[in-house]
Amino acid sequence: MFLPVVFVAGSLIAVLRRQAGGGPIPDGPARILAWAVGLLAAERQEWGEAMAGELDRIEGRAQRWRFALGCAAAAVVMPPWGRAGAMVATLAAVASAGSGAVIYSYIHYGLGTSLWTWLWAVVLVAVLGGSCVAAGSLARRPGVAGPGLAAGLAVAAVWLAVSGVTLTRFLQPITHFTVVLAVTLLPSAAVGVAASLWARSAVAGRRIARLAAVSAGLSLYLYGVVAVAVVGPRAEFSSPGWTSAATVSDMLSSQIGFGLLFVPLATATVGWAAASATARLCSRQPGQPGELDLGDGSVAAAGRKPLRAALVGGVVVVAACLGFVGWLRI
Amino acid sequence: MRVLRALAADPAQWRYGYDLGAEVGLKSGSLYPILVRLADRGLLDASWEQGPAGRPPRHLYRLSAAGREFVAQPAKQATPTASRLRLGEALS
Repeated sequence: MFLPVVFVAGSLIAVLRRQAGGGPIPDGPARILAWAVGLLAAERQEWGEAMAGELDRIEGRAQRWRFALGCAAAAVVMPPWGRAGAMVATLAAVASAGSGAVIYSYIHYGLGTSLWTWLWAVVLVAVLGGSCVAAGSLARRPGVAGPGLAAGLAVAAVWLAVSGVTLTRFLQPITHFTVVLAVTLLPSAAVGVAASLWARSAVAGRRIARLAAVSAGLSLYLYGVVAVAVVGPRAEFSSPGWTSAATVSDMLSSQIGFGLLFVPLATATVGWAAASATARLCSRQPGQPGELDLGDGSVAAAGRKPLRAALVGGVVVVAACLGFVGWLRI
Repeated sequence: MRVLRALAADPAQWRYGYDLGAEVGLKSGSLYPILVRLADRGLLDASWEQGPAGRPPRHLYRLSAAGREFVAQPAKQATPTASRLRLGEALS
């Protein structure tokens, strides 16, 4: 309940901020094209401007949408991808490996298939594909790929450490609400704060937080479904009257929901809010009106003090989180 | 090839991307990757047309000298093939 409320509130704030931005509000086609053009590599930016210039002269809502969507599709896949290509390939491999583990569990533990199974399979493939596309579009922005992946792995590491690392312990639910709350909020908030300070840009900070959410979610999805495939139907994960297949099915659903829904949503929402809040607070310093933003989000060479502070702060927060959780679980 | 042929119809004329796509029946999602590849291979010249104040400039395209040469090549190569075909038809 907590997360959907935060997510809806964050979306409303984003919409209100966009409307309060001043100046003419671009229509849907112009917005989607501007988003897609931002994904292009620096040497391809001229082509993005060409598309935008052409769209500006097109009349008619349907024609504008057709032109913008076509250009957006072309821009999303247009090479070169640089590091983002390697990152998307890695995440796609993680997603595929996880799906392989799910299929193995279905066959090995004799889970029955029905129409619902195939519908869920379609939804799962769509979510995994969407995650990879989202990661690709975020990673193509300057200064986002490396920090986003590192932050995602850090968030995943915290969840692993809290759950006990081993496959069996990872499958056991964390019963302390305080622990769940702490692990949900603290690492994601630390990612948002560190990302904004690292990139010296609110926009880039929010992108890093979202990429961290996707990479953390996919990593934990892989770990969770592999754990189910290896551990199998244990009595401690079963309820009275359940068959082995029902137990495995329930475990799989839990891990898929956790890795592909809960973790990405929590990390993205909390990280996004923390990145925005950090930028807002930093902008209150004299001589820095508005949100903290230095250009396109590429890391500025100057002003590394906030970076060091962010890194130290992040390490301290993660260490405190781990220590707190370790103390609670003893 | 449709794009090249359309550009080759009047090689000296600068063309807008949207008009070119409409002429050859290509959607923007297919047209722009083709234009990018042609430009990368040096077959296409591009320039900017400044629009009215407050509006973005427009990109214009036409075949480069290399592009005109490239378009002319298949025509030269097609001639012997066509001759051979006609010869084959005549022999059969």
